[in-house]
Amino acid sequence: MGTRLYNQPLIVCQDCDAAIKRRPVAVGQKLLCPRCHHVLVAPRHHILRRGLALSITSLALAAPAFTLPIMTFSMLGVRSSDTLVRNVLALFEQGYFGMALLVLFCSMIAPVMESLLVGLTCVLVMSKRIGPLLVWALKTHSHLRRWAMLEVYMLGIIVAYIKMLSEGEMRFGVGMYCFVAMFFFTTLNTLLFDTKTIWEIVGRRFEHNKLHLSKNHA
Amino acid sequence: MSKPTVTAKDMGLVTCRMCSLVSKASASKDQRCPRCGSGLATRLPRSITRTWAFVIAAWAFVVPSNIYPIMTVVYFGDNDPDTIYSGVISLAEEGMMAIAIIVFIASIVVPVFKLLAIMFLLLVIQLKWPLNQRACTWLYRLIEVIGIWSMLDLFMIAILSALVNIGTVATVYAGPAATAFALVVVFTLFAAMTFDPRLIWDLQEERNND
Repeated sequence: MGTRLYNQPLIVCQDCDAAIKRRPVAVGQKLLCPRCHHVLVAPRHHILRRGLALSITSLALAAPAFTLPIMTFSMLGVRSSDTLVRNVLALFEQGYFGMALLVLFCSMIAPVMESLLVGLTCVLVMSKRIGPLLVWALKTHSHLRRWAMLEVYMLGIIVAYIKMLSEGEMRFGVGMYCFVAMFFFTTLNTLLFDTKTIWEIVGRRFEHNKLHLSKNHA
Repeated sequence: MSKPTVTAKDMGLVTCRMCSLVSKASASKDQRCPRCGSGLATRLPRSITRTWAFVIAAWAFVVPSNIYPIMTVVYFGDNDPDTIYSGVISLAEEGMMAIAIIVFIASIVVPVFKLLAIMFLLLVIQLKWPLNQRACTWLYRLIEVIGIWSMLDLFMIAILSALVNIGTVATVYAGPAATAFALVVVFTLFAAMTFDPRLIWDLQEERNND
């Protein structure tokens, strides 16, 4: 083999394919691609503990954030309120199935799955269970992450609130506070979770196992 | 011109898009990453064709998404269907300028800009336009970041159709353009995913080789 498989001497830029000699990067520092300035490595402190804490917090907030009223609109003494679940159901009832599924996926399924998978990843690495389940969790997380759109939903709530202010009385509900908190912790988790370091750990373990195997065979 | 950089492709190496592991490129078509099992390819397979397909599909739905009403507000039995554009205008006329601008950017500027930018990058690659690669890569990253914000209008419709639901007094319904617009957003997201930014940099090597 011309290149070592794990513990590799090279880093290749995902955005421009430049091959760069790997050098140690201190925690909190970033290694940028000299050609296109893509962030190659950015190791962080306490990935596992923070990832697990943020995931648990986000998951705990999900149920109230999804089911409690975000805001209430009243006009001529009649009122109605919305929750994330009811918003999806309203689209279903009107026959917009595709759109309802898209909204369901981007506002609820993807963010919850993201927190679940980050939490699962952290637990598996902490308990040194580095195997196919961890690989699956990391891969699924990477596919789902881009479909979690809580930040856009947040803006949607604000815009809808201001739009309806002139039509009747508007009031934020308990669900809104839970949603803001969930949005905050989930976004923090997305920004701070460093999958590259976890993949390094996976690689080191696989290499270790392989060495063991070859020793046993000899 | 910056000094020529050695690429993984030059060295006969291939990087995993999923886990960044560097492997030796093999001749087999079905090479898999030894660490995570994802398919490996020096460049995303048929990236240009696939991206064009998604871009064209997205354009096909841009027209219906802007012609048909995206949302209908019923006040006291009075139907008031709004298209994306007329919705923005009525927000502006009601004095909600900031919101009108936000919705205009998210629903009209972002999707159109994104589609034009991807087409521009595809043409840069196919026609080998001698442009600054770093600037083109920034454009690609901008496209990736802004894409999801087009979902704003769809989320607003979902929120309003549950929130404003008090019978004949005031009710909000989604319109047929909503589905078309959802398809525009999804197709542009797929177009950005299938686009391989490394193709932009391959031009530099071709030029250096000349």
